[in-house]
Amino acid sequence: MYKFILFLSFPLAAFSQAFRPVKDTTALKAKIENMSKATNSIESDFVQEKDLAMLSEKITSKGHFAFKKDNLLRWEYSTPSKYLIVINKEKVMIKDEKKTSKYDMNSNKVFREINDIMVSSVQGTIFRSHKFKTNYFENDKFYKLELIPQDKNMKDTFKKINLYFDKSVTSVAKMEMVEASEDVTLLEFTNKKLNAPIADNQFSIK
Amino acid sequence: MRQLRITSLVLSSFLLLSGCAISKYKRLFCDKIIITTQDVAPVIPASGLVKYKASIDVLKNHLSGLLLVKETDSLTKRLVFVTELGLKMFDFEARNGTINTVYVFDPLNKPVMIDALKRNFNHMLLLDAYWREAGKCAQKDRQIFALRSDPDKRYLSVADTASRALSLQETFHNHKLESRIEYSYDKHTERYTKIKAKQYGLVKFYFDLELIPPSHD
Repeated sequence: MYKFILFLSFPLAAFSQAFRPVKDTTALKAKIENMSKATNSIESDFVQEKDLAMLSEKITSKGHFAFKKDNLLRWEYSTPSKYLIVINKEKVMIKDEKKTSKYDMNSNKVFREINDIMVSSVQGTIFRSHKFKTNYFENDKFYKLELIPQDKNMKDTFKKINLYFDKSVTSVAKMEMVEASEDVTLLEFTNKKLNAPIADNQFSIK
Repeated sequence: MRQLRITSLVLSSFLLLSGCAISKYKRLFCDKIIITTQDVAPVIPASGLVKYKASIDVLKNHLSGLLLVKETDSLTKRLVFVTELGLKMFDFEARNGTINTVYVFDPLNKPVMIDALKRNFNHMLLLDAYWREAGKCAQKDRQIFALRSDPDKRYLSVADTASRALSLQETFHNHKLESRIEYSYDKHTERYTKIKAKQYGLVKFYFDLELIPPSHD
């Protein structure tokens, strides 16, 4: 009997996890806008999993990020390699185990694109971008924004970007980047601190 | 006048240096062989996956991340470079010594860049070195394998004949040094742990590969 109930409940559980279109997208957009307005800073740990079609295993990286309005971002990997990106308004600093490089955002289109995606993703405002067509989904746990690139260059790189928000819409819970080749990068955020003070020197570029 | 003298001095030193570089491979007494993995230890093992921490420097650009090399069948190897951020920079397929492009990140998709990446990885990872005619030459304390396809000449130096580990690879184009690759080899694991390459010429490329041991990935 127990096994029979378990068997019956399985499709129900699977169904509750399946995403369905959001009926009231205007209300969801308003919630995300409110979340973005109310968030002045975010600090979080992250786990990044890269799933390459050619590999049977995933490549896992871990790190920590800090974001502060407007446009201050520190994105730091601790394993398997040490790697740091600091975005301070129009300046970008990249430090790996061998070299520190500094760039001006305006002089490099690639950095401008990466900055736009990173900053607007952690803020959850990426759906405002005209470079994507957004589809809205939900299940019992998450809202999912499916962002389909419209820009040619972006289309060559990404098939879609999925942003997941918890149902109370307080912050981005995870982000999934699906490349044209079906390779997937999943970023999951844990130990989040919203609106906690973050020292400005975290974002200094020297 | 002084400027002219300095320029000629620099030029003549350069010619002298490149002359010296190729001259060390002159007067070698070589036997004709078909080069195999029994002569030079392969960089990529026959099966499985090899991961390297990798960096590429060209002009003022510095690219770092992970290079993954996997043998997909006995004739084919895939080379994928992924940055720390998870962005795939390139995906190449090597088959019978030829590398084909599966994917290249759009800003990198320039013929000079693609050619340099393919040529250097082909050489660094010895993807096109085996099952071809070569000269096997003894030189002092080492063995030299000379691969020729005019106007290019490639010399693979094996310092330790017991392990067959490659220590240096130099390529000359029209007698000028085109690239120099240095190898570090771990006899216990029988793996190349570090590979450093420099491509000379108008646009210089630097490649740095550091093996990620299988237990640490």
